[in-house]
Amino acid sequence: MVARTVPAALRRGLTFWRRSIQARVVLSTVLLSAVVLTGVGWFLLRQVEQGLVHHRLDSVLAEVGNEDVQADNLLKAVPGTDTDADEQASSLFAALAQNGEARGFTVVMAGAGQRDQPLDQRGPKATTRQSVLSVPESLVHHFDLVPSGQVAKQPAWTYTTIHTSGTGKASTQVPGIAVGSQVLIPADGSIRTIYYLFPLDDVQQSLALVTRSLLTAGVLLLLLIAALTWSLTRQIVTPIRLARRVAERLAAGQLQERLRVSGEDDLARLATSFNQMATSLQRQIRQLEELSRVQRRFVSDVSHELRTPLTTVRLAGSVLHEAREGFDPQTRRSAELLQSELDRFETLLVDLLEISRFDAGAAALDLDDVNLTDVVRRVVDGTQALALARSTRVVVRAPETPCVAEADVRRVERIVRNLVTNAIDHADSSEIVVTVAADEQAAAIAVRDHGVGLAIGEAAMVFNRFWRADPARARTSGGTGLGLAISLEDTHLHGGWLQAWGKPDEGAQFRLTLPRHANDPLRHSPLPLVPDDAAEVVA
Amino acid sequence: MSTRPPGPRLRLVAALAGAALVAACAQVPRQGPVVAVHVRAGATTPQGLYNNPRGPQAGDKPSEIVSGFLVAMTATPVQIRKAREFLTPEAQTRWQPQRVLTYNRRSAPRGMHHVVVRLHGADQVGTRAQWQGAVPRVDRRLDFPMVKENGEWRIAQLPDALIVPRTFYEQQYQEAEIYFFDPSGRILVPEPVHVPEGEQLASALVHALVQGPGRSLTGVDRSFLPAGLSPVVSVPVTKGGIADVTLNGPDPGPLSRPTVRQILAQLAWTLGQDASITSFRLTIAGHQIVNAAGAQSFRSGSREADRRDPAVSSATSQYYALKAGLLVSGQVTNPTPVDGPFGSEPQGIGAFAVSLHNHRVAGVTPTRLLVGPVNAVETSHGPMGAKTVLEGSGLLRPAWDFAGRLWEIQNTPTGARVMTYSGGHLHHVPVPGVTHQDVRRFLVSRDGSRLVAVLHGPRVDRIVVSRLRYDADGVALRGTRARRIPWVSSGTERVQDIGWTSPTTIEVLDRLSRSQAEARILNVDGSTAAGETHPSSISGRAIGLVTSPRSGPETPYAVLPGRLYSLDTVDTSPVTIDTPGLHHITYAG
Repeated sequence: MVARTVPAALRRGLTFWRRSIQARVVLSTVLLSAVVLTGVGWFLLRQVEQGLVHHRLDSVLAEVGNEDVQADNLLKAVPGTDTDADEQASSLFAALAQNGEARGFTVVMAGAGQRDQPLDQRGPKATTRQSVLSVPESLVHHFDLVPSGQVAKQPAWTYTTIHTSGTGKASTQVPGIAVGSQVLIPADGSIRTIYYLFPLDDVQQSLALVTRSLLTAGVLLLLLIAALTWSLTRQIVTPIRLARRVAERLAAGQLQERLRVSGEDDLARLATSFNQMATSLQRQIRQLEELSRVQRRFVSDVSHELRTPLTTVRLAGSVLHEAREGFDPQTRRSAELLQSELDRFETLLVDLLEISRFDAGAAALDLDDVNLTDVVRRVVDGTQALALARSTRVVVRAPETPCVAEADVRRVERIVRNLVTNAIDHADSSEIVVTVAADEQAAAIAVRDHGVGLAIGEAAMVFNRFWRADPARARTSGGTGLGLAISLEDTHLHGGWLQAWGKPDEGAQFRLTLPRHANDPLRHSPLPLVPDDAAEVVA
Repeated sequence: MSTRPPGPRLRLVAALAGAALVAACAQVPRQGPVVAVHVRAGATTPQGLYNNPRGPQAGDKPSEIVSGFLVAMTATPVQIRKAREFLTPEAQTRWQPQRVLTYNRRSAPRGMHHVVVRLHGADQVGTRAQWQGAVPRVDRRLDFPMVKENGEWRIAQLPDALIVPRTFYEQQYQEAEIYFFDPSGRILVPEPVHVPEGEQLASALVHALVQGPGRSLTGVDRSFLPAGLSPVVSVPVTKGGIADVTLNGPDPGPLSRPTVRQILAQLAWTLGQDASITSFRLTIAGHQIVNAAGAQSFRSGSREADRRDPAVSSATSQYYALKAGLLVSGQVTNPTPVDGPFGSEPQGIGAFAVSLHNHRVAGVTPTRLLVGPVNAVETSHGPMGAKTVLEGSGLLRPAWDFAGRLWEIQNTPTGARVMTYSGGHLHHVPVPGVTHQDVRRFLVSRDGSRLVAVLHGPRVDRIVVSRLRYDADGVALRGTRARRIPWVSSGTERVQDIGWTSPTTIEVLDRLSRSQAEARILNVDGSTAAGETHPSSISGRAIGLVTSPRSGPETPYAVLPGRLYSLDTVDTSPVTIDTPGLHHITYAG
């Protein structure tokens, strides 16, 4: 359930993302602002951190300077006859440790003699054992490099981690500064290294406070930016969205739809222009519809008006054709041509009337369950003679089971006939294959030839009225140029598809797909539009 | 749908995530390189003389080792680190030189396994830094048993003292005072000490002060510092002149405010002698001492207005004299008779003394000791007159101390008797070395702690000093055995007069001839350093001194017939003041 819900939600989100300029603008602005704010925040934090740490370091070094002075004063004031070096060192350590307790640092004192041992094994005096562990080895090593018997002239410092443990609480680790300095014990001339450990927890807390403040300010600023961007884009996108909806309705034929104009700003003027454009389009479309309607009416009227004189001419022509044996050869040939062209003219007239019925919306279906395989075989049988005349062969590939669809059998047969005769006409003596297939939703018929094929773009034009791939090509099969157009209208009448595929010198294939139930929505076809042999070539 | 390379949006998100990560990493550093500080704030170089003697050299003979040892002790600033290198490890451990032996000259070290050095003109300073005078003859021979350590000769045994030439001692040591209180706790009593000068001065002073007055001074003075304390290794002095006095030891518990005041007074007066100290802080057994006002830092130095001043600065600074047998006071050039019994009519007194606060006068006649008010005092029985408190001959010029005690010595056929008159009672105070002696002149210090007497001998006069013991109520009990103050006469070997020039120094008038005399200042502790001060020469027949232990307005004079001769060493030319008709001129006390 969840697995199905998440992708659905994701899909909806992606759809929303693709369709919403507002969301993209807001998110982009927020992201860009976040990057800038992060950069500024990082820079500020670095500045604050360096400022705090350097300021603390300065105060630490000044403090150590004072402690060194105090140590110097203490040792200089030692009576010259005092011989207790340990007492002197202990007193110095006690004085410094007492200062440290009051001023917030800890002290570690160690002898400078044992260089190869860890600090903890050099007999250190320290406020706590954790203090000894907090002195970094690098600092200890630094003073080990001072020549034996000499006092380091300069204190040295480094950053460290100070380990602390309070009563009743776990040990903690805080960043700190460790400063080392050396003194000479007057009693025996020995050298002691004093390490001062200054915690930086106050700096850390200040930095954390600044960080939290910056983060809070940054988040609030981002929210403000998001809200501002959302508000701004909404003012722009909402009219556009309204215009889109109106445009969609216009496209759907609701030409009376208009935008509501309010105000005098740019968007209002855009709406006004849009409405003017829609009015103009509506007027022109209506003019075109009217013109089209007049043209269709004209064609229909002309076709009807031609039927009566054609019948008369047809009777006269039949008389002449039947009496042609008595004519001289030239006259006989003329009589035969007259009869032939009258047949052709009559066929054209029938097609024109059929087209007119479609245009007038007068075409109606006479539905029945039709086995398409039977229809195909009937048509193939009917065109056998023509195929033989074209030195070609029409092969039917149909499943054993009937391919039944709810259709008008007369119209379907006309469609198939048109497709087969068209294929014979363009097969160039190659074999023609008619495939029939069906599934639960649809049934299909594909007519494949291996003739000259179709040039690029011609597949969409073959269904145009009176369209001819090669105008110089003779209509040997007696086509009127309206067959595929009528077939397409017949197909649409069923709610089906009629599609063409073709490539130059690789033949063509026309596919008729009908829903198993008339006017059910079609989602796929049981047969591919592109034939398998052609698909391999493409691949 | 085919995959596309990362677009701008993806890069944007990546940059955002990276920046956020970096921002989250703004942390206080926890490690880094070791950085040497280029300027060591406050580092100072030693001031004054610097002498760093060399240590023992390989192959030194025993005499060279001893000689080198004696030289190494003259390191400056005073320190014995180098000298210890001449000793065996055992001797290094044992040798804790708290005494100082000084000598004018010494013999060359002689001997192999037993090196001997003889000192000439040797004096010593004790463990409490007090002057102890000449070294006994037997101790002037120094024996240094020698042993070989790792093939080198080293000193195995030696006197537990710093042994230095007199010239070095005078350069590196100075005389100072540590201040205790009298047994009643009313006045400070200075005790002279000899301590290293310079940066070790404050430590040495505090070290001596904390040790207390010692058993020999029981009943003479006392310290309010709790017993059992010891100073930390030193008393550091900051650049700002603040001395940190830290005393360790058993916690004395809460100290009363009066006790704290007394302790602070002792330290203030003691540390005030170190010119580098302006104030001090005191910590006792880990407790910071604060005064009643809550202050933690206290001004050091002696204060003239301090009622505990051993020179009793509150005392009157007037001159007193006898004119036509009447007691006069005021300006020495124009004195006026006092309106008391001694100024009203002649009482027949000769030598006399006025109490420190101008209340009472004690005068001696050939047969009596009279005491009366300076100024007229009315009582129910009429004006208060002079009262005879002692009858007899041989009475010397009396003396008053801060507590209003009158001191008198009477020479009798069995010798001198020391007496004190206080609270209407006169009682004897035995002072060994003074009592039963032939005393010609005596002084009692204003703090009442010292009695200085001139003893008349067959050929020469001797000057002795005794410390006076009291009980807690301030009743004088007895004096310590008088100790001689070395004094070398340039003339008749007779002391013409003595007088206080400070609480611990006296001026000695020595007549060289009928028309020439000299005045010399001596330390009451007998240290020859003071005795070697240049004397003031006096032209004329000097017959006495007019001095006061309080420096400042009370100029010291030598008394010549009809005039006073200034002994103020500040004056470049002698100043004389005519005093026609005045006799027995004196300051209070």
